[in-house]
Amino acid sequence: MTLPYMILQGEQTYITEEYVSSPPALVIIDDYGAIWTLGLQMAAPTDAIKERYQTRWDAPNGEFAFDVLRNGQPTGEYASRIERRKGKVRIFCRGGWKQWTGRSFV
Amino acid sequence: MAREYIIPAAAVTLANQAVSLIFVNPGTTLSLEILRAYASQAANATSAQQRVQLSTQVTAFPTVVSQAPVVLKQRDPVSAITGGIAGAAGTSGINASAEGAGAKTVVIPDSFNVLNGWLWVPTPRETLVMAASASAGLGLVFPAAPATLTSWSAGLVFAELG
Repeated sequence: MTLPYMILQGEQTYITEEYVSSPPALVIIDDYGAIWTLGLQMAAPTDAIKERYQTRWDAPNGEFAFDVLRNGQPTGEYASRIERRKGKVRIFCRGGWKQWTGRSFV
Repeated sequence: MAREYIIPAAAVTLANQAVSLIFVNPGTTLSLEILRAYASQAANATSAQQRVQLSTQVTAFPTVVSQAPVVLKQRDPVSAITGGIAGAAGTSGINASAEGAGAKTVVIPDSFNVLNGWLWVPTPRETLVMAASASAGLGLVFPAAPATLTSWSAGLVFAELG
């Protein structure tokens, strides 16, 4: 399900400041005007939580993770937070930090 | 499996006072697990800080605009919560015009920059559970009016338990 805040509602001129993280920010807007936010598809950090919520298991320890959306579209990554740092968007996944290259996260 | 729903408020104009953007009150049979809350504005690009709270409230409840929960997974049944304007048990609503005299208990106090919006996602053991028949509802509340009152959106995602 795509909620209105997950996609651009009009011309966007504001770029999220450095070191802002989502959450608690609702969205991150990068230098190209793309909106980044966490979706509603959940990943669990433990088997017990995976069973309880009947979801996938690849979240960072102790945290829920969700699908990472760019302009409302899934990127294929699950992360607990999204951050803009040094002009780059990066995400915290089970395997650690990944950075957006313009086409994918590495 | 728990069924998940969202109570959305889209581009509403708030009263110039403390206001509950979202309010939900569990019914008598199903408890509600609060999984996510968010708020944002699209009115302008002026930096400003805004306080926000997740608060429980007992009667008298806020007077709200009726808004039934929307199902997140289309194969799930409709929510047991229905839209209502009085904040009564088993109902939900948005954009309160009056906060009601009932005592509020602030559970999650926070603040955010309106340019970034606010997203609250609890870790697994931090989810809030509103018990059925507890005679208390949960509100996503701005305890002070924002500088800009127009074009606010908010949402509360919950799962029905039991």
